[in-house]
Amino acid sequence: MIDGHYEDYELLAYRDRDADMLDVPSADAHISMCEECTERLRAIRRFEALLSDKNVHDYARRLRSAPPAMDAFVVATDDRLRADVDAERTLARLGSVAIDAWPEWLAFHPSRQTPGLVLALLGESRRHLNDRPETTLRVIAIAEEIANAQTDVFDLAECRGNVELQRANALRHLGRYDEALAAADAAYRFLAHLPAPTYDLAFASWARANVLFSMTRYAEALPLIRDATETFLIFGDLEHANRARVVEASLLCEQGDVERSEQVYRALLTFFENAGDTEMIARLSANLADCAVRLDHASDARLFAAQATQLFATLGRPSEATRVRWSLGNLLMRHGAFEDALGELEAAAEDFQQRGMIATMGEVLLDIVEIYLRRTEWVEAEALARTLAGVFRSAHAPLHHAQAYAYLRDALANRSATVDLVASVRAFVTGSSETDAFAPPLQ
Amino acid sequence: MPEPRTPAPPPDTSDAIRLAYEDHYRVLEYIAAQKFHVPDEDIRPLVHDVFLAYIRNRSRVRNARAWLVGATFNSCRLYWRERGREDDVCGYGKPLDAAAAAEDLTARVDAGTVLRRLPRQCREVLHLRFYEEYSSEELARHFATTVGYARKMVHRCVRNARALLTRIVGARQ
Repeated sequence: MIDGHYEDYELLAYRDRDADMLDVPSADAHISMCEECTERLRAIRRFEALLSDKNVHDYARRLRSAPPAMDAFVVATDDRLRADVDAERTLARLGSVAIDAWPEWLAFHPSRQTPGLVLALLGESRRHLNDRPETTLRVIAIAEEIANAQTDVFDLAECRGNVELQRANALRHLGRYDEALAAADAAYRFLAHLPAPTYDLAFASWARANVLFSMTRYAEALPLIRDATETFLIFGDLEHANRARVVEASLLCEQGDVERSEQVYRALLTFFENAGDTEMIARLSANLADCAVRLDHASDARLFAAQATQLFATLGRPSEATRVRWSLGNLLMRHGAFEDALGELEAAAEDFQQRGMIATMGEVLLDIVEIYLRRTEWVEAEALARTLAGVFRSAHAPLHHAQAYAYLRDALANRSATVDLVASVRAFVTGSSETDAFAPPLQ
Repeated sequence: MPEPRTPAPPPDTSDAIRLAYEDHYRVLEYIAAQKFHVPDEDIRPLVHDVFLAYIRNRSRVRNARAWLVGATFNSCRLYWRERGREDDVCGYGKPLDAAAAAEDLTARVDAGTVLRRLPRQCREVLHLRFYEEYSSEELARHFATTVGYARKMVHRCVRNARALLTRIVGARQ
């Protein structure tokens, strides 16, 4: 014994109950009282369990003294890292001029057109995704040009795959869902060409699920997002798995399982609070506010909405704060607080319009039209519908939305519009594709 | 605007990739070889593909070892799926917790490394005792000695192996 504890050789003898080596009853008495000796005995048993694994012996036989040389792999890795660092410097240079001037600058610097720059540009485009999705598309178009110039087949696949992934997200924010779906599919096709692509493909599935969610095609989105979650878990990536679970919970919420969705959100909120992820805390607070709206828990809704708005403002994400205002306005409308609701909704609509998020603005204005209809304020409702139809005739708005809003305008003009018609238009603009035609509800 | 010179990657990034390779290659090789019986000539390309995927996604990855382990399990499954033998070979199943699986596999690789580095006689003793499952009596017969001495040989070799393991783990940390 040393310092009152058995040594390894004594513990091994004790394990074998070897009375020639030590007094076994005394050892029994000591070990049952001694945490340190008990733990060391456990460690010996764990180690012997490893030695009993035939795989361990087989593996030992195939081991060489050092890992295989990294050779070509190292060279490729260093090249890649070098290009990534270079890309960040190039992006910093580009940041000092207007986006319109980027293609010309890049044309004069072909050596800067690397896969690293494509990814850096996509990272830059993401910064504008929520507030300026049109800007995101412009940056993506530049990244696509560079991606197409890549000669290595894997570089091309990776770059184009990520370009299409980001394009899908931007188009979804703009309400151009059919194009967004096509981009998500293209992302999947490109990324599938990469070596070991499963993890990358999970992001493509996630992007597609998000688009389907926006199109209210919930039943199609759910298995996709669950597959993505499972993949993230296989890769030990709990953070992305939990982010994907937020989408899954949102889908459940839209499918009517609000209580379950709320439970998942609360569990995830704890996870992201522990991780100190302010953005996710803000997002989940907004989602919990939305759940509270659906469950008619007014005080919870106001509490979560206020928390989300404050956090989004802190994060410099004004359009997200605006979405929360929209949710709150919707809550107030449902509770008959029409004046308060109008204040929130009008501010939200104006903000979405300024950001070029016309499809979203249209949905907010529909809520306002509904308030006017409920108060039988036909003149105001008609004027607003006329504005709405006019905006949707503009170049960038989805045409099939324009058709539905024009129908609403006409119905308001001849005083035949109902709250049900507003609901039909709302369902159409959120769930239809560009080839669909608006069909009004049967009277 | 003058064209910027191409800088070297920051040493810490480059070193981090290098270290990740050195730290994790053995574990990934173990998975491919021992868990999925991927043929020797295909192990290295498969693991390198996993590393390339890791480099591609490194900004998204929080726990490199868990990610690499998960990715290797997945790549091994795909390897056999492409050959129509996934069900025969991959009965082990997916790791439900890649971080825990990574820890367990690291311990096994460490134990294998210890066996490899032990003196030949010790390796033989541990092989006979734990792989061939010899009893103390069988060991005594094999080495033409007494049962008591055979038992002591095992104890000594386990003790040496544990000491070596402590050094290997300490060096990694």
